[in-house]
Formats: sequence, C-alpha cells, structure tokens
Amino acid sequence: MRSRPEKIIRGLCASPGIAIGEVYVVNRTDPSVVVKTVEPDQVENEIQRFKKAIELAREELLDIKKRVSDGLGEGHAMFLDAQLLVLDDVAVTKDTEEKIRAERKNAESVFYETVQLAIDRLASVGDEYLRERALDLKDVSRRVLCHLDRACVLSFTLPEKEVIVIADDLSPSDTAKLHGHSVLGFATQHGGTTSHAAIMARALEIPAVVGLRDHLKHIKDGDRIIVDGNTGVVIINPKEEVLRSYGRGKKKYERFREHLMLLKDEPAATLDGRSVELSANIEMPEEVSTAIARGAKGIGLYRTEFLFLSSDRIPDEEEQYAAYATVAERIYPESVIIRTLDIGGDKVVEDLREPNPFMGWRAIRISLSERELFKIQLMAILRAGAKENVKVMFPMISAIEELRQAKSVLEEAKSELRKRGVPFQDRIEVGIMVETPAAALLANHLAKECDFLSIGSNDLTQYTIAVDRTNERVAYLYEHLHPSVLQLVKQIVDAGHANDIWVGVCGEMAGDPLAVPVLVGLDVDELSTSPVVLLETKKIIRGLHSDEARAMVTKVMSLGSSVEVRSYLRSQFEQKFADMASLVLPKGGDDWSD
Amino acid sequence: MTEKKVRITNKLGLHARPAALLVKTAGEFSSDVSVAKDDMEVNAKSIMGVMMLAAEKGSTLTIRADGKDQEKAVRAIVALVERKFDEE
Repeated sequence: MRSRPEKIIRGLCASPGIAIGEVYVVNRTDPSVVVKTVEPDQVENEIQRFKKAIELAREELLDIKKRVSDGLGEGHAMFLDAQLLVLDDVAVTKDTEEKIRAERKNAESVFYETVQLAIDRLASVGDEYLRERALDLKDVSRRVLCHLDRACVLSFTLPEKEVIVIADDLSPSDTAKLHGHSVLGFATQHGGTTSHAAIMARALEIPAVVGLRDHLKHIKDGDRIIVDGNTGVVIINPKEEVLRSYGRGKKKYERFREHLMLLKDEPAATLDGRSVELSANIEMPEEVSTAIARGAKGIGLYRTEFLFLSSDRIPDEEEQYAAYATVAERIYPESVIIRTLDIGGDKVVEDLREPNPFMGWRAIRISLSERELFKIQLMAILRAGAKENVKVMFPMISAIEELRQAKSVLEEAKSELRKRGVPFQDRIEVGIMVETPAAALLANHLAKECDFLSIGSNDLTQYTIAVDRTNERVAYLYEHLHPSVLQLVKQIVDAGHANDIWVGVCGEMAGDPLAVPVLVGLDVDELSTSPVVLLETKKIIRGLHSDEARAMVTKVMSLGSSVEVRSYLRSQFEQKFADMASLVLPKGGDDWSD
Repeated sequence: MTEKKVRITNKLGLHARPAALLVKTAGEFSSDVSVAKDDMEVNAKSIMGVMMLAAEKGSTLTIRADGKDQEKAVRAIVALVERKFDEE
C-alpha cells in the first residue's frame, strides 16, 4: 500500500510517550520583503499601515500570553513579555516611522532592515542569553512582517484532525499554540531537551523528540510517523508490521500509565508495610502541579538554578521569595526541600573559564565566597517557609566546615529577618547533599550536625568513578550501580540512621527501576524522582517485600563488578515484575532529570 | 555635543535589566543620546539597540548626547554605569 520507504531516525527525548499519526509539516515561508518607494502622498498611509501591523501583533501576543498563562501558568508565558517589549521599542516604532518619512521606503523594508541588524548581531555573540533574545526578536519580527505582507501566512494553522507536528524548530509562540489543539506529538530538527519547546511538551504531556537534524527534510504532509519520546526514535512511513507492533506497544504503554495513575493516592509502602517517602524533583514552580497529579509526597528537590539561569541577572530576594513561596504554597501541607544554588562558577561570572569546572568553584563553594548572595537566597527560603513546610539543603559539601559556615550564614539570615520583623520559618530542617566521596566517607560526622542527608547519586557517581558523563569517550563508564557507588550509598544510609536522621536519594538512581529494590533494601527513607517516573517507582516499591529487598542488597554487596550487579538486578526484576519489565527496562529519555 | 567614556564593572554587563535601566534613564532627557562600543553606535533610547552592543563587564562605552540637556544626560548615564546599575 505504502510505497515510500521506511526511515528510522534518532534524536533526543524531549518528552516521554509514544505518538503514532499523520504528519503535519509546519511550512513557514518567510514573509517576503520587497523594497519599494512610497509616493510622497502615501507616506502617512504607509505609517498607518505599519502602526496597524504593530497593533495586530500586540493583540495576538497578548492573546497567546493569556491562553498560555491560563492553561499552564504565568511562568510559561514570560517569554511573551520580551516580545511585547520589542513592539514598544523606539528603534522599532519611532525610528521606523521617521525612516519611512525620510527615505520614502515601504514599512516592511525599513522595519526588516532595523530588526535584522539586531537579530544578526545578537545571534553572533557568544552569550546564550542574548542569543535567545535573538530568537524572540525573530519570532516577533516575523509576526509584524506577516501583517504587512498580505500573501504571508503567519505561523501555521493546525488542522482540526489529530496530527503530529513536524518543524525545523518551534518558536516560543508556536509552541504556545500547541496548547489546546489536538497535537499528538511533535518532532523538530533543532532544539535541545531544555529548549522552550521541550519544556512545553512535558508540561502538556505530549511525546516529543527534538534535535533530528536534517533527517526530517523529505517528510510530507500525510506521511505516517511514529514519535517515540521514550527512546528518542522517530520512524517515518513505518512498515505495517512495525506500525502494528508500535501500536501494541503504545497501547500497552498507555494502559500501563493508566494503571499507574490508579496508584496515585496509594501509599508507597512495601508488601510488609514499610513505607518510603516518595517525592518529586522540580525546577520550576509550574511543575508542582504535575508532581501533585502524579501523587508526589512533597518536593524532594527543588533546584533553584533555573531561576538564576533564566534571568539575565541575579534575582533579588523578592523574586526568589516569590518563586519559593509559590512552590511552598502549592505543595502545602506537604513540604519542599529547597536546594541552594548548585551552579558552576562559569555560569555566574562570565569571564571565568575553569580548566576543571566539576572540581572547581561551584555550588556551596560559590555560596560561601559570595556570602551576601547566599544570605539573600537563604532569607528568601526562610520567608517562603512561613507555614513551616520548607527544608533547606546545601549542595556539594566536601568538608564539615562548609556545613558549619553555611549554617552560620543561615543564622545570620534569620537574625536579619528577625530585625526586619518579617515572618519566616525559624525551625527549619537543614540537610546536605551527599555527592562527593569525601562527604560519603565522613557521613557519620556530618550527620551529627544536620537534620537529613540526601544522596545526589549523579555527582556521587561521577566523582567516585572519576568520569565525566558528558564526555562521549568515557560516558560508558558512568554507572550508578557500580559496586563502589553502592558501598558509599550503604555507608551514607547507615551513618544517617546511626545518628537518628533520615536519608534520601534524589539523583537519577532514585528513579532507576533496577536500583529501587536496592535502595529499599538499604532502608533509604525517601526517594525523590523526576515526576515522569514517580508512579512506576511507587509500583516497584509496592511489589517488594523488605526481606527480599534486603537479600538483594546482600547479594549485590558481594559483587565486584557493575556488569554483574546490573545483570543480577535485571534478572531479579524480570522475574518479579515480568509485566512491567519490557515497559521500563532499559530506561530511556530522562536526559533532563538532572 | 557632550561625550564621555565609562567602563562597565557590574558582573553581567549590559544584560536586559541594566540595558532597560539605561534606556529608561536616557528617555528622561530630550537630547538625542547614543551609546557606542568599539565601532558600533546605537540609540540609547532603544532597548534593542543597547542590547545589541552585547557589552560585557570590562568593556568601555562612549556616551554621547546632543541637545538642550546633553550634559545632564551624559552625567546621569555615566553615573548609572558607575553605580553598577544598582545591582550589587
């Protein structure tokens, strides 16, 4: 029936799930800009035409902004403010008008000239923030130009039927459009897993694969396509048998997700009744609702970096407070653990390029040397906890002095707030991320001076094995089931319990189906995972008996090779959880989870 | 015309907020005000223009104003940059 050959391509997992459907190619022709001379008596008309285009663009942006912020929350709509600002810029408004008058050229050519200069310039600088502004500028200028060119089709109109959207890239305002339409999924040539489109796809819970390069070139409207956001695979014109098997897989996956949703309000407890605190990792206040929808018991890790990196400057106390308080309020009466800034030095100060950034000036090391900055963050955190549901956590502790110093800054922050007479959480639980081998080995000492330990398995693995997993040549060595990592984890949990404090895991390990039985067997008190895998983690916990999990720990601790650990855990998992093994093993598509 | 050079010392350079502050300050004066970095000169009353300079910490700006209140305008902008845009 189908003569076009099947084509399998691979991209990056931007949002999980499987979508099968018909292709809709977003084909935007750039608005045509022809330079024309305007007759003297038409100059004022030309200016009016330009003003009208600006007004129409403004109305549309305000409309998109409203839809996005009603549907997904204000945070997702912020980028539209940047575009609205451009419409008010004197270089755009007044200068364009004057130029039309002076040069008697048509509005689009004058406007295009001005904006294109800015776009080219911004796109060429080495600064990520400014490059993003270039995208905003391009997005908004296309909108204005389209209102000046009658033949231009602005953006695209999605068909009524269900489709899978294919595009070079989706601009921020395009992505906002996907909301409320029957878009089954999307695939793009460009973009990364933290692009605006990817974040939006996860918020909307539609499968998406990005970064497919030029493999999407020859695709046409109406082609059949499979977008597998779990593995990052896209299949164009799949053979009938592939389609059938994916169709079955998709059904199975969806039934599984539905089945998992039934567990939403069930306790995360083993068959013999030992309960594990199961919470979610988030980056933005908007994600709290997803976490709650998946039955998270609180937020186990709120990463504050996004707030700092998405802004062009260091957010002040009020801005930080607004974000933290939103999370605390939305998750109330459950609690949120806010991690203080965990960032590499190169991201805070632009002229700092370290030869060895992972071992350099980052996380708590920055906070302790930029004390004022740190104190401001702590004050914002303390204020957000006015309802007593906030905990604070310090990243990358490697010596006990760091914990002591951080705590003393915390006390300074409290006394300043007291002086100001602002309500805050005086009795706040203080914890540390255990993610350096040094902290793991000293856990017994550290545990005496804090209220909880949270194991950051990603960094702990990286530092223990001495492997940078972003380096493709050595990434294969990265393995959180490495026996040395597991021994450190055991040591940390035991040290915490010996000092009567609770111990959690908040790295990817907490959501790895193979690792969960081991963590339960080690008596870990809390697991904090990305919201996407939270319910499957709960299902695994609910299918385990403590004794059995402990027996698995004993076995694993006797092994000296990560290959052996993995294959043992895999065979155990396949026996115990035969029904879900094929759905959750091997895991794919959580590139964004830390 | 009045002209003065000033060096950017705030950490993030002329990013959005500092750029917006500069534009706002320039907008308070009736004179034509421009900012130049290297061989690029832009309208100091345009946020897009000012951001285009991509002026980082350590770069030198030349502030020029032409008009009735040219001296005040240059003085106000130079002071703003020297105050590190009230950022720190």
